[in-house]
Amino acid sequence: MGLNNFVISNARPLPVFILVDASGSMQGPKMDMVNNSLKEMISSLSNIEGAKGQIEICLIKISGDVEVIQPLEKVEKVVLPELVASGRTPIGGSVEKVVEMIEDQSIVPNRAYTPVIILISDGIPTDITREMYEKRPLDKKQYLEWEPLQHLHTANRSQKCMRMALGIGEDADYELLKAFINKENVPVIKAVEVTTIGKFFEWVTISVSQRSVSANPNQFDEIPFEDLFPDDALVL
Amino acid sequence: MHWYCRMKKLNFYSDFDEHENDEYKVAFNAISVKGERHQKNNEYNQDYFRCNVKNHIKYAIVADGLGSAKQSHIGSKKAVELLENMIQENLNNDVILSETEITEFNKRLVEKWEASFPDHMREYDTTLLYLIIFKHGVLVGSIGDGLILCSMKNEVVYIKEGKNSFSNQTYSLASHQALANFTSIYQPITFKEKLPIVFILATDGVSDDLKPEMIQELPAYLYEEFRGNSVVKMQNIIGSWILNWETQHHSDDRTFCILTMWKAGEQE
Repeated sequence: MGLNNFVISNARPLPVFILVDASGSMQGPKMDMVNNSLKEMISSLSNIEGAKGQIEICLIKISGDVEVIQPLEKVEKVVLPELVASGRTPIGGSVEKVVEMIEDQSIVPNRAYTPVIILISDGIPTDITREMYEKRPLDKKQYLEWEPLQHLHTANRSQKCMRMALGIGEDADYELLKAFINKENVPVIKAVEVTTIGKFFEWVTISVSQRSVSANPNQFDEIPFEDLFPDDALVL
Repeated sequence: MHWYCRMKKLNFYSDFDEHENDEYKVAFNAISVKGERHQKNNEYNQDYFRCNVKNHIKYAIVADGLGSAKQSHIGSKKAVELLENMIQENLNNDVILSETEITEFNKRLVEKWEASFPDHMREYDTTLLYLIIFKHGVLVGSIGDGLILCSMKNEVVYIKEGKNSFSNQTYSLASHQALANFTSIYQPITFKEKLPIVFILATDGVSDDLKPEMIQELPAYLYEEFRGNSVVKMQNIIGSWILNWETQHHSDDRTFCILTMWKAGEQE
């Protein structure tokens, strides 16, 4: 045995968790565009030169159930299945799932760089409480009191994660998405046209790429978005 | 015999020395390597260390300047030098420190460091790890990431990894309420009854990549290496390990110090 036996040879992970709404309302061009954009993003992230961390991808499908369809894996090894839209929108369950995974050091080790969590949705969550349901429409403040988001924003590790969100269409719940991000100066991106979905993934790709090659991949205060999106696509 | 080596023009600097007293022999080996990204961009190594086994009070101090702080190479050096001065000027080798005295010591250190950068201390931000060996005990202290490990008679008796979130997220000297985030412990020791003793201090550029399941075996492994080699040969072994770090795409600065105490005549 030599001293190198004490050292982990794999690069430090830079985990990216993607929560995709694949409920029935996503059927058609929206789902197709998300599927295409996800593949393009995976391809781009697999070919970054000089990456400091090892980008890892996890894909969580939000439909009838919350399903981890791609456990956290090195981006180069990820082959995403085509998402098929059907069922309901248990966003709360998907947030609980991602918190559980991030808090688990056997999934995200301490040596990992701070994860990114991305939420994409075109509707309202179907797993809110009856009390919340009766008070609809809910604002950001009310959503911040929702148990899954409270866990996200208070759990030891998940509260430190970088969060990005895309609302698709006018029916997306932008107050929920704002509560999910809950960070000044980081907007929810609003995609009224499907092409904006592609631009959102481009933004995610640029952000993750920049972090992966930066001196400190945990710095993510300055995410460039002004050049990619028109003002009316930014919901603050 | 005194060994000294410092090569600042290279991408690393190293230091080693050994000493013998009535109770034990003691040696240290230390190296700090500028990370590949800092090398590529012609930037500074933000880590800094000092060790001394010749002094009555022996010590090893390691600081890791924060990557996000522009002048942290200055802040880490200043932290180490301030602490070194405080050890040499304010501490008594025969003393057994109380908790109050330790807190006061750390408080003075934090205040001195803050006073060194009155306007922009966040730009100089750094972590700090230290080990101070008195006649009757050991004081270890730390703020922020990095590893302190102590083994006695080949059994790990203290380990500080200090990380419960993610790589490169840490408390530091410029943190809000820095003193509250300082961890220190004084342990009385009758050294001659506990030999061999191994102390390891490392910045997170090293400690984050050590296999958690094997970390407890590292002091015993290194001591076995040490038994079979001179302090000079040991410096080559450790230097080569840290310089040619095994982790893929690694680009952090890396600093590793080992301080070994053993019965005279035990080295082969």
